[in-house]
Amino acid sequence: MPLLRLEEVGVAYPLGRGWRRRRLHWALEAVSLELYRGETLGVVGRNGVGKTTLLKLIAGIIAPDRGRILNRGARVSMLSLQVGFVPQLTGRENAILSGMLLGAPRARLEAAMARIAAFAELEDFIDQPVAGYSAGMKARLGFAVALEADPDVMLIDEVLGVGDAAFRRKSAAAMRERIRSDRTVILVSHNPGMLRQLCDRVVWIEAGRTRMTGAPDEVLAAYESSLESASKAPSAGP
Amino acid sequence: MRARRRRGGLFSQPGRKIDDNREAKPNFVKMPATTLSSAAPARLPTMDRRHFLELTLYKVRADLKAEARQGNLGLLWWVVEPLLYLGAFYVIFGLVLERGGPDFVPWLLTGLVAWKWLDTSVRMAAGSIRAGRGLMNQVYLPKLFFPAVALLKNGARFLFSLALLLLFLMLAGIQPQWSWAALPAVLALQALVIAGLALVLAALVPLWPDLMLLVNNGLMLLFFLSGVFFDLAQASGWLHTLLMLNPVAPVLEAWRAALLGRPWPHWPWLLWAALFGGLAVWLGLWLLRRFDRHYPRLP
Repeated sequence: MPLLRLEEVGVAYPLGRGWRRRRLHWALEAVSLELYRGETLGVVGRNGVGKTTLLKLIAGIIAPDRGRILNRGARVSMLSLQVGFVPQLTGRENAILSGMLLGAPRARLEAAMARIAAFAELEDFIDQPVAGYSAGMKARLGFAVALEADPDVMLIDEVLGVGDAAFRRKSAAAMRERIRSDRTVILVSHNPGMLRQLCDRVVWIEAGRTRMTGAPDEVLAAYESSLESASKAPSAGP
Repeated sequence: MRARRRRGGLFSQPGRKIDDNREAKPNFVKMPATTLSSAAPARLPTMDRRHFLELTLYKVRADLKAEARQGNLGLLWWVVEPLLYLGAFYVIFGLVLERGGPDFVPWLLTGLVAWKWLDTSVRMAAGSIRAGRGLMNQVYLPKLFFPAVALLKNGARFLFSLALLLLFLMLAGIQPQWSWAALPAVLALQALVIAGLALVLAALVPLWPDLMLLVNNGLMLLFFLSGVFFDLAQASGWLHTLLMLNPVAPVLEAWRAALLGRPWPHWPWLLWAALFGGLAVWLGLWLLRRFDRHYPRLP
């Protein structure tokens, strides 16, 4: 029994302005996928095939215009860094606020504060206003909070690590560890290498539709060969 | 408990049986949350009430703290700002114009404090969902969060104005009387009217952004019609009835009755204000829930 199931899900946005917004643009046409507890599901597709819209659907931020989403009560959230940060508040206050926005209970965040500060390497600054932080410090705190928020299903869009080179390695390693453990993760990327390394299954989305679902090697090979044939036209491909 | 939560309320979507959702029509607001089997409820992710409440209160406290840390005066601004506001009216009407006799200034300031609470709350709440577009596109939040934070934040600030007003009244020689005990009830009535207007506008402004301009002008009109500056009792007959249909008018009269010993408005007017507020709150909550997952799509 899947934890989450999308059945022929589509999302349309109206084109044009004003009262007569009759024409629709289907950002997603018909996407179907299933997510099982404990697996890492990769979603691959070129830029602009609706991957971000798909994540918003799965996170419950928007509802589909057709098709169905079945969720057996899982708490799903996107890995969003620095959600709701307020510059005048301290690192500690922002960590609690941001973690609660990501769905974690306040008591758990307070209990984990020492761990958050240590991971973000901000022990001496955690009670200072975030306004005085450097961009790197904010990125580290944001990442540490997101890691601690720990939803039932984590949705990751492309980027695993943040900050300077050293912290990027450390954060990417922590995220990889999280992904490899029995967490349920949906990982969206247009980088087949990363998906091959981390995913149990891969879904390939093309032009708003599910093109193929299956084992990473199989799906990614098909995806890559489609890219190659497309890149005979000179501008396509990375 | 679980069954009750599924039935409705802001935090859950109406459950639908699997078979009455077969056709796939474009559909912007209906939530195709369905139940797979009777065993486990399936729904779009929501937020449970306790977490919502905890988050809202934490956000209110955090925002107030952030505000207090801004600028050099910090917390003092919450006192200085209403002091300047009331001071300006006191200077013009009490000292320069000397209008309406010695009772006029307390009468005017009471109305102004009550009005300012409503005006600021409604303005802030009306734009709150539009202002929260960035956040609501990163995490799912029941959209009540945004106007609720605005209303609670502004309610806290209003308490400072209220304290100043009571201080001024006592300095102006108005002794605290037994009727002051009715003030909490008057505040509760006004809070209901404010919440009603605020929630409905907060829900509608993102759908129709031009409405914000109407809100600004509508509030100005309401300011003049609500009897902040002139005594509605001077109007008579159908004009008085018409003016009292504005739910803010009886609330202001109730303030002055409680604090200054003026005559109370007839109780049907107070009942009407409460009914208006209650219905508007209900409508606002309904709209917020109906468009809950539509707001993040709006440009």
